[in-house]
Amino acid sequence: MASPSCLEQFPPAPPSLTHPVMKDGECRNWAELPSDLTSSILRRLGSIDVLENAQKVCTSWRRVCKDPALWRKIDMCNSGDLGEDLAYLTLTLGINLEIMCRHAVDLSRGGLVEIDIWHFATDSLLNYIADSSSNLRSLKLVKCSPVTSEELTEALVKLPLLEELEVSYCSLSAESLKVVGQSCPNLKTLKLIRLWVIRFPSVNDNDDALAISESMHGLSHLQLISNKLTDAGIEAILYNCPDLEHLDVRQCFSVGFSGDLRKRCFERVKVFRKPFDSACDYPHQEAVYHL
Amino acid sequence: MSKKMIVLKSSEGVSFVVEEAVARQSKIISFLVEEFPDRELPLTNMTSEILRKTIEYCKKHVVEDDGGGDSSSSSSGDLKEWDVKFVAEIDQPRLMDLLMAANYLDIPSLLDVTCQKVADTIAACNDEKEIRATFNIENDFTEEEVEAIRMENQYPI
Repeated sequence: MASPSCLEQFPPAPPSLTHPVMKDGECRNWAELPSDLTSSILRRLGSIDVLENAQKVCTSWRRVCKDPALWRKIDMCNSGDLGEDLAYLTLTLGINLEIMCRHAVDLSRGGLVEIDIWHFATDSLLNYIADSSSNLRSLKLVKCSPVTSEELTEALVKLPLLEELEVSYCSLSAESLKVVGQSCPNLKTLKLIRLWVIRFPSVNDNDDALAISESMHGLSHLQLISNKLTDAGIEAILYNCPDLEHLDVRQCFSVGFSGDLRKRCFERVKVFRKPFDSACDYPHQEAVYHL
Repeated sequence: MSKKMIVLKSSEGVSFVVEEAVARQSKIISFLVEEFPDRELPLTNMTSEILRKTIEYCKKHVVEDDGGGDSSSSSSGDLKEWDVKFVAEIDQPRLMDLLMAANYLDIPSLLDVTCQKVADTIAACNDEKEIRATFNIENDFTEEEVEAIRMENQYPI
């Protein structure tokens, strides 16, 4: 083993890697953490926590919270923990979530890449996001009932770089899906959760599946929960989406797997979730029909 | 064939003999091992305690290739559970040291679990006052700055 004299031969650590010698037992002042590390921590918080709490802690955290880099992702789904009813939610938090979301979008200064919204999205909010965030890659909307299919489509066509789209328990017609597929050629992931199959289990309809298979040829991950599609819909998707690796058709009870369809599904995709597979790992499972 | 060992030296001059595969989870050590083979590596800004903790983490996470394919010492579910317990047992000052050590040594997975632990602790606080108390942070805002934040963050119902 080398002698201590080899110490001088080590290249000096780059400035970004140096930090004060760690003394034992001392109280650490977290405000002195290098700002890139504070940023790595704060970006893991939901946007409401950042705006309501973190930015009010001290000047160094405030600086990090004003940096557009922190706003590449806006996560406003944490309100989901609080309940379903928007009016109740707004009163509980004492804040207008739509205005807060617009503020968060402004803070991103056009650099927004990913946004998750539960409950409170409206047509005007979505169009505000689309108009100011042409770099958006991922949009997830869950239980945003005020959103209309037409306005959502209008917003989505302004987002040509979109790679991931989730629309759960919101309206998005099959016709709109086709327009979205044509406008967002980079779309790799689509999650579409319908509710109606529970109410009308006997209705079969491959409109969604056909719109997807006609316009979204680059999909690698497709989740169609509670959809009315049948075997023909799955066939069309398998045929037209050659890069598909993950197919989830849980709660799609019109799928019958005639012939060797089941076998082909397992052969074609890496991960295949069948209609009667458990929905217990599904994040919005409270709204899913439990078998 | 015996496993290749390397020596890491803490700021107090304590030497730790570690399997090279374990230490190489640090991109910095990996680089230094290539540049300076068979030498003791002085980590002058890491205390023995933090170096010991870092090595403990790296030992658990080492993936050995025994020729029979990759065999991690634990399954990924167990590993996640172990990580949670590992950071839960660390007190606040040492968590900051460990986070900075993970950054300094460039061990992305350790940086990830330590940052997540801090974020979870922040998220569990009710307001900025509780965060300050938890993380030993002084309120250094002027009255004007407090007012500016208030004005910027009005979300009337």
